[in-house]
Amino acid sequence: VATDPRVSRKKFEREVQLFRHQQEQHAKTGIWMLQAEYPDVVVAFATPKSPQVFVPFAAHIDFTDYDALPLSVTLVHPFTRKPLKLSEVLPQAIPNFQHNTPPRVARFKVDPMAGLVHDSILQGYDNDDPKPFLCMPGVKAYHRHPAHTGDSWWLHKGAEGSMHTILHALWKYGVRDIVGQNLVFQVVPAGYVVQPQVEQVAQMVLQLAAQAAPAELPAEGGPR
Amino acid sequence: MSNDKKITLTVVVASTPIKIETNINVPLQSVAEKAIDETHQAVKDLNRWEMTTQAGAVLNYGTKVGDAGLKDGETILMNIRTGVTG
Repeated sequence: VATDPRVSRKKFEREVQLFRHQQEQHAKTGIWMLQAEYPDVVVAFATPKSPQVFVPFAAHIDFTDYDALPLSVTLVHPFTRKPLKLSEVLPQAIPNFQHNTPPRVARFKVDPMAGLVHDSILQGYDNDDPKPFLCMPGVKAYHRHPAHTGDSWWLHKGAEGSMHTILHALWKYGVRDIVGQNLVFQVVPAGYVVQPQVEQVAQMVLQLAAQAAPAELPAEGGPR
Repeated sequence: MSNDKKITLTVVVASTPIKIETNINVPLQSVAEKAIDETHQAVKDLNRWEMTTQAGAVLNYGTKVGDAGLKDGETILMNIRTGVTG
């Protein structure tokens, strides 16, 4: 035991109380607390901007050993509470955006050299990975990963490693910018897939198109 | 400073609410610094915080409180910018 359970429970109660204090605002943005019973908190995330509401995932947060150790966070099915495989989380891919494993819970940005790129917070080895993990400071799986042993939890303890910050990141990168769905029909294999429209991506694509457009326009006074 | 330029904002800093009395002519940076200080945040660097309206619109620290369209009694949010790594 890294933290006296009485200490962890106190911290659990404080963070749950802070969440409940803002519960009305959280509910408006699609963040719903489904369960809060020490040491477990389950929070579901819904898409706040889409006309048809999706609930792509819930997060199970385990306060055991918090905060000598970071919070343990697992994405789970909102109904069954079973951990989700990577493929079971709504992907945020867009057409012509090539990925072996489409990004999920990801931040999109425009890189001057590479164009439209993404950072995936949810990491998995492949679509069937039964234990994808949140690769962000403040989450236990991140600090236990061999690639991050140099980034100590003690550098992030506090607001950055709080339940609030983790929930905010999941909301911001996981559901906030989903504004609808695109139906993409595929000939091979037969069937169809549902892809969410990601507002952030759409805006960046337009921004890239706008940057590229002047070069394609004829020079003033030139041939039309 | 006349009283009619004073307003009180509720700033929710990483889920902790705090009331900040300010002036419509000061930049939001001043509000952010006060809010971080008064909620005793360990992270002081403003660049590591993102300030937004409740609707999610990002607020620039250089913008004056009045120019940002903030009214007396309004609530704004401050959250740590997530260090996404992957």
